[in-house]
Amino acid sequence: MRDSYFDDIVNDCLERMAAGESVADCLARYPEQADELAPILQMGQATMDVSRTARPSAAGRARGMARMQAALEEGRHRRRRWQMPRVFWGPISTPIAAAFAVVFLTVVAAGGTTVASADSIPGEPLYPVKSIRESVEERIARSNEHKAQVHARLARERGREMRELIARGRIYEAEVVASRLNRHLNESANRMGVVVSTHYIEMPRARGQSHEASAAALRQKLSHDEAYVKGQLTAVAEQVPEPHKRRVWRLMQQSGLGYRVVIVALDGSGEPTVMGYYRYYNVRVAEPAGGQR
Amino acid sequence: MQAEIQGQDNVAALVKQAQAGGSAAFSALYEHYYDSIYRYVSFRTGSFADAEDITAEVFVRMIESIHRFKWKGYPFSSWLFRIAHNLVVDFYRKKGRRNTVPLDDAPQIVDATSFDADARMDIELSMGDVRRAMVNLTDLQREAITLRFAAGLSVAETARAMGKKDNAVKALQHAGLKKLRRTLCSEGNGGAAVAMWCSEG
Repeated sequence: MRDSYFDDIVNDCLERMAAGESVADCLARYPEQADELAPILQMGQATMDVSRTARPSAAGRARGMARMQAALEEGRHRRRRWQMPRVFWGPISTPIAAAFAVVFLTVVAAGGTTVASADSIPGEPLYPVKSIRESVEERIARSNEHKAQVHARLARERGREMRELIARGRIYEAEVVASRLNRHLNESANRMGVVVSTHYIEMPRARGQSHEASAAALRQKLSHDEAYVKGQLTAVAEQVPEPHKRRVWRLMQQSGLGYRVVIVALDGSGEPTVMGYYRYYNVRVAEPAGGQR
Repeated sequence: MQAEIQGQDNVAALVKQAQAGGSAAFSALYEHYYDSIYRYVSFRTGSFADAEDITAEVFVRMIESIHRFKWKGYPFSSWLFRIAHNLVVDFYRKKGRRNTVPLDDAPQIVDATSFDADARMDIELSMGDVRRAMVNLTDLQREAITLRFAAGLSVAETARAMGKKDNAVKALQHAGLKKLRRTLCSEGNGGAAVAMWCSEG
């Protein structure tokens, strides 16, 4: 009971100090507890003072705002992509939804829009069409193996989009697309029964014994795609102005790690999966000469 | 900045607008909470560069999940700091480092044109001292101290962010500060400035 009372006194003083009162003023309010209070309040004051001095730079604040705006824009694209399918097949069973999807694809493809949208990148008028087409592809894939392959292909496509965005100087959007690339990779692994985590204490879980051949095929495809995405980004990294080079290299690390984790996790051999992940995670990717943060 | 959206009612209105997709509302929330989240994260990570990255990510996550936020009697800030807390935990899991104090490296990696380098050096030394001492706190004490003093949350907000009762937060801050001082002032922790501060106290 006494402790709770003292906790209240400490808190009362801290609140007053945060509002501008001095330690001495507060000690004067509680003379009986002053001896015990003084060191605690002094520590509180020092911690407040130290905390107030941590001020973000204007440049950092602006970068954060730009990143948030890019994510906001990306979210709008995503909403447009998802809203239409939900309206159509929320209450309808999967086979009927698949039939709708086929009809939808046929109609759109007949107009040539989907084909034209294939090479579009975020922010372009045809990109929402491409997003819808991709969500339909995810829907109509029947088996988990097929869905895993679809997500692997979409991850590769995100890699290509990253290159295009970086080449146009739209680094923030490329960073958003990089997150989507890793989400596709994770989903691809999940479809094969592998839960992937980027947390070192939550190791990639080795998959079960089923789907051996499919896992091998997916692993092979991802290995090729890893090289493809790395090649795409390496090529464009050379052309990026010096201040942005570091960020592009970080994107390369991020996507490279995403691929490596899934590939190693798909190995399916248990312990070596964990060790392989450790080994990779500890590798530092060499940065370009003169690269800046 | 604080004056722009004072009070829970205004925050509630902004959150509602943001949930409807209003860009201006997101920007206002960003401006309102950026500094306190940055301070919280820099205190937890000990790196200004990482703090900048993580703080930016907090707002990206806010965009992704604000439609799920519902008013259940606790402030929006608690929800936002919960995101920040989770990202800091992720940061330590990914990096595999828990108690490092890399603030001393910060001058090499922050934009030299954006601040007074000498002033920043002073900041790092003293924050580094406090952070080193915080290593000896329990996770809950550290979280309570950081939310209360770095982020500037009230006891009630801190309690909601931590999922604790108000009284528990008061006890944690009391015990945390006591232990922090004991660690800081024992056996030559820190430099001359710390020794002087301890002897004066």
